[in-house]
Amino acid sequence: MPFSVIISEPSYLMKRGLAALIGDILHAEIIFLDDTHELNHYLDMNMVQAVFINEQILNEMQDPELFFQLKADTRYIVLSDTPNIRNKRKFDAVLNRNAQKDDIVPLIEKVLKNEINATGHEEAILSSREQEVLKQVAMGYTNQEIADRLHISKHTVISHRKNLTSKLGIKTVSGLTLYAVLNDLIPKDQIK
Amino acid sequence: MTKKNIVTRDIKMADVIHMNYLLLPVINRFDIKLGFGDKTVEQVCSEYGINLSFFLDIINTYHDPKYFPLDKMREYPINLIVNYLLKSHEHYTQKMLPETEQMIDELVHSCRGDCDNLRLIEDFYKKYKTELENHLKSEEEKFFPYVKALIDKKEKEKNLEAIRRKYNFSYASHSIEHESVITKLLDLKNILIKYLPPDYDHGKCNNLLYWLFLFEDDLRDHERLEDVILLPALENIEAQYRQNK
Repeated sequence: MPFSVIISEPSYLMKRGLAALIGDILHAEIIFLDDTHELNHYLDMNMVQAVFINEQILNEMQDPELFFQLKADTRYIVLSDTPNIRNKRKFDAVLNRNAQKDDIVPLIEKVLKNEINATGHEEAILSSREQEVLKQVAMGYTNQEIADRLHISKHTVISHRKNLTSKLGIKTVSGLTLYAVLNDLIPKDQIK
Repeated sequence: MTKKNIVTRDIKMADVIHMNYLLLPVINRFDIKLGFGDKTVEQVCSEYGINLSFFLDIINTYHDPKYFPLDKMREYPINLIVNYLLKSHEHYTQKMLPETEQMIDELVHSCRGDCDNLRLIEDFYKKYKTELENHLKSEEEKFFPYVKALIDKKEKEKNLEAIRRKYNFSYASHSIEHESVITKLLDLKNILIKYLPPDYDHGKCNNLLYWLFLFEDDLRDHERLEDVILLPALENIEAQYRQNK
């Protein structure tokens, strides 16, 4: 199942070039979002494996540190012109905007290694917790509601959702609902 | 890029289709009919009054995912691009969607056991169809009018945000809707392949799957065309707008 990768970079050539390189390494859906508001909104709504974000865009944010904590399972790579970048501990890697292909490819491979290895090897057997989360998703509850109902943190819910989505190869809520009904996890009349 | 992998003006139009039959609906969208004998791409385009360079860029964008004519794409009149995209919308609403529905209907009627499962697939598709139709409609009623208003310089207002609000257009929801209409189709394919109990006519399910693969590819290319050709051209116009403030 394909990755979702966001590229947040104002230079048109730069983002297209990076997208082409990522495309050579893995099968990914690439979304271009330059507006920080739109970026946060998208991350809130979707499973995203990696975010490549330009340093300038990052600095325009009210709270860059919070941004890196938004999604526990997402890898953050900062595209920077300066070698001494702040907040280094908060994100996964820095990619110099002047880097050559030979440097960029290993870096992407290293950062996304676990993701790359994970695809195709997982068995589609859901753990009981994942099944529980799936039922709640299918019944139309949001991440926060599911967290409250199952007495777990929102991060845990998101992590379960990410795993079950990748195990089943189904990404959308309506697709997951259809799967849940087909497998008698929820009765048809419980669909919101 | 080797010459073999790219469509050029001196290739015979018939060979373009032999090279990649998935280009057929794209050629149709230019209102070009089959039966072109040995005429080259250039000859056919001139016969139909089609902008040759635009035709080649569109065809190659579909043909090769890495094709990326940045310099030229900014020079095309945006109306040309929008009209082409509208033609694709017509293709989706009048051909792809109804025919998919027909195929699903046939699959449901070929049911041999518990037909509830197939009805669920049918319901899923009906909701999907409405969603895609709404997305296309929203492009036609919000996005394209916004683009056209900028090129025709209709707006006295100089603030781009205000103009976007006026046309009810936002880049964020546009990009999310785009993504969702493609992902749902992918989910439907996966459910048919992996999870639906096979109590139906297999030939009919195969036909449906072939069709869904084509549909998904076409939608992806359509999206790429907006990303690769329309949005850069729009960025250009928006930049001019800001300068003329």
